[in-house]
Order: sequence, then C-alpha cells, then structure tokens
Amino acid sequence: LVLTLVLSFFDQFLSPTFLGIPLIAVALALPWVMFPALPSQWLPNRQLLLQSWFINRFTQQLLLPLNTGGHKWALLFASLMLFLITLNMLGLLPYTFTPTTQLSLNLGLAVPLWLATVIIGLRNQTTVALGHLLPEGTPTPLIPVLVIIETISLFIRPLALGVRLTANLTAGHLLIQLIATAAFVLLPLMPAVAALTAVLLLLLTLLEVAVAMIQAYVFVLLLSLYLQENI
Amino acid sequence: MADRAVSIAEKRLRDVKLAELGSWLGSRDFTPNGIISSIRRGHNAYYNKYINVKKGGIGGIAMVLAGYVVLSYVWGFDHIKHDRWRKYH
Repeated sequence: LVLTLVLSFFDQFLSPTFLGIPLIAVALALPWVMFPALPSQWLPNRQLLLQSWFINRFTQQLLLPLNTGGHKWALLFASLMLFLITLNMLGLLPYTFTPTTQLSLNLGLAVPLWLATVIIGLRNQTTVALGHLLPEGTPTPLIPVLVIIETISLFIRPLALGVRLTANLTAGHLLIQLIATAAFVLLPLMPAVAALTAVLLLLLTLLEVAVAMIQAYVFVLLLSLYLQENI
Repeated sequence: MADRAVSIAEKRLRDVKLAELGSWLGSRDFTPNGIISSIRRGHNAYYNKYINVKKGGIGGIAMVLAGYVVLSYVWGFDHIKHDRWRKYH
C-alpha cells in the first residue's frame, strides 16, 4: 500500500490507454484543431484575428536578429512555438496529459533541430563554425582547455534544451498535484490552513501558466540563437 | 403533416427515426475516405456555427476544451478510480 502511495504522484505522467489508443495521441493531435486554416479574407473571425496577430508579432520579433538565410526557418520556428505553447497550456486543464513532460518528445524536438544548425554551420562556413569553439582574447596557455570546454558546451546544448523543458513542466505539474492533495487532505482537519493552501495553489497555477508560455518561448529562442551563429 | 419521401441514406442523423437507425448505419460510408469526410463535415459545421462568426465569443473554444477535459477523464478513468477509493492519499 505504501508503494502505491509513493508511485501515485508520478502516475500523472503515464499516458493512459483507452480502446487501445493512448491519450498522448489525442493530446498531440489537439493543437492542430486549435488553429484553423486562414481563409483569403483580410478580416476572418475573432479567433483567427487574435491568432494571426500573435503569430505575426512573434515571428517578426524572433526573426529580427537573423540574416536573410535564417528567414527560411521562419515557418519552422513559428509552428514549433505554437505547438509547444499549445501543448503546455492545454496540459494545465484538469485530467489532461501534457506530452512535453516526456523527455523523449523534447529530445526528439531538440536534437534534430540543433544538429541541423550545427551541420549547416559546418557545411557552409566551416572555419567560422569551428572558430566558435575558441572565444576571442583567450590567453595562449589556456587554448587547449578552452577548446575542450567549448566542445562540451556545444554538445550539451540539445540535452539542455530537452531537459529544461521536461524538468520545468514536470516539476510544475508535480507541485500542483502535491499542493492540491495537501489542501484536500487538510480541509476536514484545519480549514483555515486549507484555505491558505488553496490560495497558494491559485498562485502556483498562475505561475504554471506563465512557465508554460515562457518555456516554449525559451526553447525556440535558443534554437534561433544557435541558428544565428551558424547561418 | 407528411414529409417529402427521402431515401434513408440521404437523411441527416437528427432526421432519422429510431426504427430506421440500423439501416441508416448500414448505408453510411465507413471507408477511410468516408470517415475523413464525415470528420471534415462535422468540423466545418462546428467551425461555421461557433467560431467563424462576426462576434465570436469564448464559447466556441470553451466547448472544445471542456469536451477535451471530459475525454481525458474518460481515458484515464481506470486509473482515476483508485484515487477515489483510496483511504489515505
């Protein structure tokens, strides 16, 4: 009985299966429903207006520091950002499943995109890309050590991208479940403390909404920075 | 008030009488193309009624999200029922 108690807080990250279909499949398909196709009218409807305003602002901001070669990635960055922010926000609804809590998904997004930026850099401007491995102005005796350190930091980037997203969302969901359980259990015993815990839960949920949006943005932003170095 | 005689296959679900339900289901198109087109028709009907309007409100999306929450509850019920039955959390 104790084992089930300990495991139950992580059970929310197991995708339940119903009629052979895992819930993660439904959760991954839902962002597609949220963003209908744009018709050729200038002023379609409120939802499309708000969405296109957001997408245009975001893509414009993100593409400011990139040169013309980097603009080819605009569609990819915009769709990645929409996908991540929708997945994160939908996961905050009760009983839903958040696919971005799975490390496999986040690494599956981070590694290929990071690798693409590295290969583009090495292929098109080999010397410049290799030159990034040594910061300007390092004293000569330190050069070997610094090259090793910079190589390690280069290879840790995809891991950091994936793990950052996973850890932030998983920790947020776990905290919500823990504090909600505490408030629920305290209610018959000490109602005043339970009310305080409920206020804490409200604040935490607001934080989680912010984290959901910020983490999606950080993911895409860092990718655009890695692209900037290499394009 | 006699309705104009229409063949069963052309009726919409809301016009099918209960007794005709079996033959209506038999006449539907269950090929992959048929399923996809029925999903597309349903999506277009919902979209044009609730979202693609001049002053759409939050109801259009809210209904979809509420349905998603209910769907997730149904999906995970086999796991959630243990939380309700458990004595100590």
